[in-house]
Amino acid sequence: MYHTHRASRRSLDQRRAAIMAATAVAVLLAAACAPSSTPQATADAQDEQEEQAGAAEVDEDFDLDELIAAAREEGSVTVYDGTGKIEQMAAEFQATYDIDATGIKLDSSEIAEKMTREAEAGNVTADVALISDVPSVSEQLFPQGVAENWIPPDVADLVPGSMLDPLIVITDPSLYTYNTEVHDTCPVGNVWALTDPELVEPGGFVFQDPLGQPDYADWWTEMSLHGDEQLRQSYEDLYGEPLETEEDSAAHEWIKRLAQNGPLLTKSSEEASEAVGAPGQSDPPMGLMSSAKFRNNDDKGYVLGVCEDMAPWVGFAKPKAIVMASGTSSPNAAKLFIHYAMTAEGIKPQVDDGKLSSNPEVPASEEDPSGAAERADKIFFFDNATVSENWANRQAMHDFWRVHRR
Amino acid sequence: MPPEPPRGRFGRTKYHLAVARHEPTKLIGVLLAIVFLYLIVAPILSVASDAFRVHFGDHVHTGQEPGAWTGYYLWRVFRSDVSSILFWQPFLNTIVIAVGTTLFALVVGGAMAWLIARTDLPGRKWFSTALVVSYMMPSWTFALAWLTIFKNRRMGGRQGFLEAMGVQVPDWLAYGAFPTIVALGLHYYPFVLLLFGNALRRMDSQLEDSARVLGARRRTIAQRIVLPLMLPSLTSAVLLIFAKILGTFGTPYILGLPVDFQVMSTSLFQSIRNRQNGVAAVIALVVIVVGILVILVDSKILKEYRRFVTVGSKGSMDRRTKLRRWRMPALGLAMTVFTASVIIPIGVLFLSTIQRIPGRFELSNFTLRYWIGTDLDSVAFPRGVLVSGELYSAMWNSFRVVGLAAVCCGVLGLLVGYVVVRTSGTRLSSMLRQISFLPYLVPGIAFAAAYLSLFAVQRGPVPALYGTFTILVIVMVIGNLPYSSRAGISAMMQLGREPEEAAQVSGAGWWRRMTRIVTPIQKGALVTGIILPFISGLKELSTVIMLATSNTELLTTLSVNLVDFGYLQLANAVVLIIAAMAFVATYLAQRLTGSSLASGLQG
Repeated sequence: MYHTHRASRRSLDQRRAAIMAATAVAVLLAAACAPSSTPQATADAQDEQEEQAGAAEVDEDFDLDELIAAAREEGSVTVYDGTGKIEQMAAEFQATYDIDATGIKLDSSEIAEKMTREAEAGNVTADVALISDVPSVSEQLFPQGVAENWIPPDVADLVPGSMLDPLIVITDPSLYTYNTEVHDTCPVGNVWALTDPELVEPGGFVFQDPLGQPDYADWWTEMSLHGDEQLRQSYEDLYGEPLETEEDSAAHEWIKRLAQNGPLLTKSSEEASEAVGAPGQSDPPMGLMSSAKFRNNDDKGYVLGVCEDMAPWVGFAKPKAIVMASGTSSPNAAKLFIHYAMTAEGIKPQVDDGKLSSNPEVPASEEDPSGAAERADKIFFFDNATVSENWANRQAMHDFWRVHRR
Repeated sequence: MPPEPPRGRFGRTKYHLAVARHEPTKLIGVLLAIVFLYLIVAPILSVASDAFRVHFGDHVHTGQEPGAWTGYYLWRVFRSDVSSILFWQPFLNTIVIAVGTTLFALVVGGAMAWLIARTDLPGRKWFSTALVVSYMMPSWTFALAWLTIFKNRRMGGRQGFLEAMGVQVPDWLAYGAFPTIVALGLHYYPFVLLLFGNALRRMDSQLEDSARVLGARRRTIAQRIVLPLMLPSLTSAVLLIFAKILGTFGTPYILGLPVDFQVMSTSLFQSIRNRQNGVAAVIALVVIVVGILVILVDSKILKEYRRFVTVGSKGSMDRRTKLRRWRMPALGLAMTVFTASVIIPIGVLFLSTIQRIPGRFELSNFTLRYWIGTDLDSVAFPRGVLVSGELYSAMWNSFRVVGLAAVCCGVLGLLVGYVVVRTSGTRLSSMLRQISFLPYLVPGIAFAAAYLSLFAVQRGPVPALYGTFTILVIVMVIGNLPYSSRAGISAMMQLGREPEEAAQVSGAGWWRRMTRIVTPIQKGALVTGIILPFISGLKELSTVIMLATSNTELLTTLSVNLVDFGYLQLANAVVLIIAAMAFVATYLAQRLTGSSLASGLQG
């Protein structure tokens, strides 16, 4: 009796194993056809990519009035952006052109994910998107045919050539910051000082977790490509001797030393601004934060000041691209919105936060409390030409940081 | 005994149909299984396949064409130079946090459940409602409250409360594993309170009496009678908490960053933000696999301890332990838990909504304008939350979407419970049981993205639902199904067949049995199965922003927008309103149904 039980048990186990194996096969098969964000491997994917790369052509016979008329016929436009200011922009666009506009705030990774899947399914709701992760635009959205670049012809000659493919709508400056209640001037005047434990003690410099968003890694790559000379010069100015490094660039050496000097990391730029700028501190850290945080001086009584004499740069400006969805059902309204975002009236809500329009004819805002526009010549700007290097190096940069942060 | 099946093909079909009409459990089970395969398994497979396919733009790393099968992401997460930083250390930390939080919640929640359900603790009824409030606030409020009190110099900024009083706070107390465990434990112990409390209340104390009469010692009674009876609810609670912690992001990130304490969800978040979807998918898969292992252990335990029926057709009796001189200390303990888990977080949050400049304690700095003012100097939101129309339309939207989803969820959960228990031992039963729990393990954002793909176009009989109200409801039902199905299963396990068989003998059909017998007996479980999804749905954000296409403003999206505009006071006021709304709904539900979460514990 006992034996029979054992035997039947064993055969049950075998059956179970067979079922599990069959299930595993079924799962693999199902996975192969399950909807996914990865594209199917196609031979022409690469061709498409090359074709799309030259998409930054300018529409020669452009007539704004015609565009407005065509856009009105389409009736509506939906715009995604990483800032809540987009709601205000959409409302003002609607008031100006009498075209229904909806502005929705979404993280740039969410926008990219959403647009990709909408495009795959052919059910496009996002007509225009403002995306701060520029490399993902040129390396994922464009080559996959999810989004395309459109440059309003009347600004094509104004916007710097390094900001046309993809079209940059604004740049978002981040500035080195100190606490004006405790210090009269910025305690240090050289970025290398931030990496030196004798000049800035561990925990004495605070910024947003560089692994939490791509901005910092992209900045570091740009700096390693275009800022080597200035960084080396600043090093020599501080220490009186040239920099010797085994790393790939002066920027790499700087990042390594910065990581090793134990800076304080926060979840958001907002928290970094509190750490630096909250009043009533005896030994506040220095920081690096978005220029928009300077409005906390008024709103929350913070005491943030810009390190104006920081060498070689007082900060960096992270570009944000504006693109239209390839499958949009209202291409003219989308173009009109892009045109609008390149004008002074259109982009004002963001410029008021200290963002810089890529259109040099858009005046700086008087409301911007950081005064970033006046310091634009001392801010490090990105070059679109190396955007694919940013993408390719992002992971390596993050790993470089991770390894030296230990 | 059913009559002999008639012969002939037609006769057999007719017979089976007749059986299905009276005993449609299996049929319902099969239908549920099909729906779940589409709504749960397919999205998960899509997440899973992302871990093994080259993503667009990653050919620089993999040297393969986009879409090709690859082991690159696995290699990067598990074997590369950075895998210890990227995965292994966070993995260990996650396990520490998950185990620690679960134990913490078991101790706190178990003690409270026993005090409320089985003793003469003063104010039992009140506590049974009040203590659940800690689950109604977003878990990050506990991190916020913790930092307000324990923050030290390492973080800069405003001084923590203790430091301002001259107390030196060590780093381990301020940041990292310990505060994360306490903060999450205080947030999640209501699970234990609800599920364990419900089971405790329904246990027939005659069983204990019989054992005592037969001479069993207290310990024997606890080990041989109470524990086995309580096990399903306990393992349910443990599973719900443990699995939730695996993917919890906000609290560990806020409290962990200052000391570089990384968990899996932080790695996941960083990968998603940086568009490294392959790595994100691998980490999500690990979360799912660990979760599945926990489910398997859970069902193993349940199998060892056979099921026990606590609600039979016989009368039952419950008698409370007299605390006598321990009554006041017990009350003190309950008050302490209440203070730590409810008063302090709410207080910190409320304080932040009535100060013009945060952290400045001067009389002139206090104001009610963010609640009832009409002339705020903010452009986009010029009125206090209580007097602006936007709040009420967001509340109505939230109520509509989440309420509908929660009710569907509760009914579905009870059905799952019914089928799982009635077909117990079959493959269908264990499949339903396990599949219905899976949504809990998948990170919300990944799930929502998969839903977008699934519902953006018509697929067979399923129309394109993307952008509609319906898809929001569906994803909320599925996302919160684990709560309801667990509540349903653990309640059904305690309900014997006898009451139903009695009705069947007297000629009641299946529908009548369900509506007149099972549902009334399981009212408590049903309400729990509706309220828990309701509370968690009110706090839901990532699925909503991914799947809503118009700007249907819900309370959570309103709050996030306010943060973005820098109106922190207003944003926190909205968070308090979410908690208040959850509380009012819970309270009304129990009043109107006469049973429930709270009196579900109370009897």
